[in-house]
Amino acid sequence: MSQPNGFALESHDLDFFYGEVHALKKINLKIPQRQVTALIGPSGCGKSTYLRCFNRMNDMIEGIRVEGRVLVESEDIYSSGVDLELLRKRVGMVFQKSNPFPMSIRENVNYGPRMAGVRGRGRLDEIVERSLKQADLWVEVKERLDDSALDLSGGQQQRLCIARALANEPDILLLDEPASALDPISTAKIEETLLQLKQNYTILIVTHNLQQAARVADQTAFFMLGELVEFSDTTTMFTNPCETITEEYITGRFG
Amino acid sequence: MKRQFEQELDEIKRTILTMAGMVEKGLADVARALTTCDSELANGIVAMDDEIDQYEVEIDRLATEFIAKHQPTATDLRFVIVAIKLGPELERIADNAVNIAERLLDICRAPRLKPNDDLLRMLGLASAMVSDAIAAYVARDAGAARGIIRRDDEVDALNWSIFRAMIDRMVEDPDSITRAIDMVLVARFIERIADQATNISEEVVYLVEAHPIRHVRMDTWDE
Repeated sequence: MSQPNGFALESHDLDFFYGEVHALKKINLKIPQRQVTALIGPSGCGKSTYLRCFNRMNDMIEGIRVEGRVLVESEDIYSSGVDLELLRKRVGMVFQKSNPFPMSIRENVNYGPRMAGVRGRGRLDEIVERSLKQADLWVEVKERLDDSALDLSGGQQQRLCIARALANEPDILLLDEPASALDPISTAKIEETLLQLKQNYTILIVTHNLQQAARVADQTAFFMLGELVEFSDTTTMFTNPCETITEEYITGRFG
Repeated sequence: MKRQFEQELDEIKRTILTMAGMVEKGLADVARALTTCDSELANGIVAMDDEIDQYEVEIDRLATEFIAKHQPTATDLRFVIVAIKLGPELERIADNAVNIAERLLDICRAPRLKPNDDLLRMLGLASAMVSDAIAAYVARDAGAARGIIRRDDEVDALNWSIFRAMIDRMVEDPDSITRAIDMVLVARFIERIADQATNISEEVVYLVEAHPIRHVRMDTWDE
């Protein structure tokens, strides 16, 4: 979906609380469309919390409080009347640990569309093929679509989860450390997939792997103690960051 | 206790400074040899060159290992890139010192040609540029590095002046052609040393400020 202001995701003066804990402090950020944006920072800095604000995954935690505005394609997703099911269809998510359903590869991918009411083997198979191709998994599994997804390797399972998210035709993909449990070859495949996907999707990725951020992201945001310290294009971030504290983090002097 | 990462950066820096120290000593010996016509001193300069070459190789090895192990970013990345570039610059300065030493006996052959004082002055300027460039690298002083680059014009002017004087001399006295050509060559070697000090200074600015000033006119520098 094309947006007039060119930003897929925005937060304005976003404060987030877990009970008394002030986890995000006045975050103002605009994430451009069809680019990869990485969120980096030490553990507990708030980057995953921030990511999960964009499909309201944090709502499932008791005692949370959100202040400020969070926009997805210019729409305030914390305003009343927002359809959460539709929001999570538009804003897909992939987690650190791959979590395929205990079903066949085909059923994993067409699960979302079936729940959304898509019917007909032909139509569903089209979605399965397109999604698996986009996730760069099609060639490896096309002969065994009815095998259990649990028989796939860790890297393949993670790409299956990306395919499953893509099957819902989202506009935006949120990825929370998608490659942290994978070997280097699977990691490289995921990264290649992300670079392909950004032609059609806005991607927001949390990663602890700074080199991964440097390789795949167009912009990078550095979070620290719940605050956004620096947001810049990735080349600047990794060659000449503005803030001393950013430099200390990316050069491994703390964190 | 310093972490492994810091220790390895220190080792790269220490190797550069050891190499730079040898190069500075070589330049000081060249100046003394030119004044005293001491052929043993000249031979010592030539002999030291192999060891200096090995330092260049060692800097490359240390920097390559560091990149492979640590994937440096920001200042650390620039530090390693600059280390890889400083090695060859220092090595070429040493080569030019050797070139001068090899011409020394011809230069010293009596009667001395007149611009010898200019040659020594030029060598003094170029050597000071090298020492100051190394000091600016150690201090990470971009302002000092820019000041060194500005001094290159004076060395170029002396080179040109010696060249003109030698042309005149050769026209007047064809017997002096061999010695005059040696003089022109030595001046050219010194001029290159000043250029190499300029290159080092440019790398210091890049190290500190993260933007290249190579091939950028001085009057457009963003200071």
